Amino acid sequence: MSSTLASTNEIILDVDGLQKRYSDGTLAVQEITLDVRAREFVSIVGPSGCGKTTLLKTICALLAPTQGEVKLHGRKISEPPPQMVLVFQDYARSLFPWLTVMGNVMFPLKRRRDMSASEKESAAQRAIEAVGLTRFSKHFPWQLSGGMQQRVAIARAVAFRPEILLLDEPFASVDALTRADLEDLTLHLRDEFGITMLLVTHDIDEAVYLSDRVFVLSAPPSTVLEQIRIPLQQPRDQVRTRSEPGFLELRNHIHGLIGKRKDDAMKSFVLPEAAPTLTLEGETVP
Amino acid sequence: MKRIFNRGNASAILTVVVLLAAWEIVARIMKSVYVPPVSTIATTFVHEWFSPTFGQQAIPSLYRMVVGYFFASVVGITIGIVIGSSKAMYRLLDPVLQFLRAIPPTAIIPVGILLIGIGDQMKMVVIAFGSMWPILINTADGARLVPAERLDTARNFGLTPFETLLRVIVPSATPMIAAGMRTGLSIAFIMIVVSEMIGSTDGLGYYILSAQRTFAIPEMYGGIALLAILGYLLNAGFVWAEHRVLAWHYGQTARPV
Amino acid sequence: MTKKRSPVNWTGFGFFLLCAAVVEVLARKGYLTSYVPPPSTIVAALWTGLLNGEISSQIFWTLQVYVQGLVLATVLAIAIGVLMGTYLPVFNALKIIVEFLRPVPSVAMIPLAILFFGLGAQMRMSVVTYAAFWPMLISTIYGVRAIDPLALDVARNFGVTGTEALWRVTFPSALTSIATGFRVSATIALVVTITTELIAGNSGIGYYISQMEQADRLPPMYAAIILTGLLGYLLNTVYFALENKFVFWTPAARERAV
Repeated sequence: MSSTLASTNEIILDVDGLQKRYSDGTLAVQEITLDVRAREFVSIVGPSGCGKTTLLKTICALLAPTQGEVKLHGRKISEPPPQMVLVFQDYARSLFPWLTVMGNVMFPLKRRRDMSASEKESAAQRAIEAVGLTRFSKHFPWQLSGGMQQRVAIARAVAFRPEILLLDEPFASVDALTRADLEDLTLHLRDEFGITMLLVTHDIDEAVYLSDRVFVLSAPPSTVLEQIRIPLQQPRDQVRTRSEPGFLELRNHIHGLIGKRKDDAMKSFVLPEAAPTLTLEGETVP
Repeated sequence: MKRIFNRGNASAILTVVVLLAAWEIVARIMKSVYVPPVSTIATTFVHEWFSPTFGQQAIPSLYRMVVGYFFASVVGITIGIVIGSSKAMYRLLDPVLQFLRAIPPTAIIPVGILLIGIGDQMKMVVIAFGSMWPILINTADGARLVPAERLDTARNFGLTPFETLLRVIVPSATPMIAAGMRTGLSIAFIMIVVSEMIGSTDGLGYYILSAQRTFAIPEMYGGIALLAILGYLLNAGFVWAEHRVLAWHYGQTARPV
Repeated sequence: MTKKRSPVNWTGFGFFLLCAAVVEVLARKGYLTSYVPPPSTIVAALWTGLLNGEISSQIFWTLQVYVQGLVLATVLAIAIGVLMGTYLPVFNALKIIVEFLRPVPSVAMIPLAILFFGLGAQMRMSVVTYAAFWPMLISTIYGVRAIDPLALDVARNFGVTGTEALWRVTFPSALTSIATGFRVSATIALVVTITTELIAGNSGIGYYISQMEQADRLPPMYAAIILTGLLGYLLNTVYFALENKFVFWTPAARERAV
């Protein structure tokens, strides 16, 4: 409902010429430029190893870029801003096992002085309801299944009321059925709470299903190969959307992009001690 | 669990009974001073330890051990958290700590006697020195091994470094701290016995050594038995407390996620 | 921000030397009690003691008790441990004895040992054996029980059963656990050797320490104390190397090899 207007919304996140080098010198991200509009669902797709996690962490300022900058609402950020929350792939390692579900979800609210204790609790309660775990608020995360734990992580992020949710391959570690539920959950959260979503995934189908726009990354060191608008019908539906002809076209197109680049990269793959940039056969570096 | 009297435990209890009975019979036949019958040891035990002797010998030992162990825990955990959460501090202090901890704590006792003399303080200091190391090292490891995702989450939510320390690093490290404290407790127990054998005029260590010297053999066996019981109770008590405080940890490790 | 960390910890060693230097200066100026001599005198005493045999002869006595006690403990622990781990009746019969003898600190056995063996190397050896026995027993039992039943089935398939299976399948599989237990036991064995020498010895490094303390010869006393730490460290290095060579298939050894 709101995303048909998303293409005309203001740009709230601006990533410009971002480059990130690991501490041992290898180039993870060569040059990434992208933008995200308010209440948009944007996905970043790429082959494995192209530094997607590093990219997300740099975008929300958990890591400092080697070059380039990230601007939130036009202002450059250097510290993790409260408007962005990152949801990790490995929920087991990011949740706190000594706290219950309620404890985990309330965690980001604990230090706020502008809310009373009961306000904090009801905010957490609402977040837990939004992800469908009301019955389990007194459980410990490790008593729940993988998909439910990821919901707790999402609820914890939502309770913080961010503008943008950064999701790092959040559904990679769960089974296919659970993944479908969680995908729809993120769409629901975007529609209901107006949270902008920036999702990183290696699953092309997932990216096409969920997004308004998809950025396709190259093999490492990564750059943006193409920006693709996904004009599929809203609201999305697991069965209907995935059988739309446009869906197949788009996913095949992206497959082709990544597959070709992967082959090219493999032909001239050099071990990291050599030059930091790769030259693809017969092409100039973008 | 009502399965206490199952077949497995029956054979265990039977073995113990048989061995004790054999000891009794052999001892009565041999009439050796070195191996008194179990019954004699038992009566001596009851006679000695359910009397003021307990207060004179056992309580001082326990008191010294508890105080030394307490200081070891406080210092060990504090330093451990500091070096565990700061890579710079870890690199700075690592060789010094490795050097100090390599020295067997019992070898420090002569130094303690020279510097502090024979008395309660010396024993407490020596116990603290000895039992501090496993606590310190385990705490440092626990603080170091907090998953990066948790630390990133804390930063994402805007926690100050101090808040991160208190609300993320310390709780994450508690299972390893507990493991270190359990080892530290058994070391403290050993240290009290040794320090009382070397430089003391009372305490359980002194008691059993002087019992041997004065040929009060049943008393000696009784003292050793008491040490065994105390050791078992201390360890069991610690495990019980640990399982309560760290219920979340044991629940977690019981279920593979 | 991308500082390459050198494998040698210069900062740490520098700090260590700084501390030693501070102690040296304070001791020489007389700010420290006379019971803490300057570190340089300790190092000198260690050096001369090693060269002229005063300390090195004691190392020999200590190692003799240590090795004998450790070897005996190892043989007993593995034998009993394999039996207890493999045959449930044996385990059940002995488990209470293990549970009650284990928490008794080995040092508490010293008076008992003196009673039976008098003062001397044999007494000390018996205490060391007692102390080193338990960790190895527990890890042997654990190692045997943690064996993948598949390994035994495969062996049976090839007609390897009974004692042969024990020796050719059970024992090697449990070796990882046994190796770890051995290192713990070895550390304990050294400490207990020194401790018994301190309390009731007539030779060895621990005995030397108490002699030097009584004779008020402090630099040699401290030198011997530091030596025990060095000795423990050296032995540990040797054991790690042996483990990597002989038990190279375990994940821990493979990690260290990287």
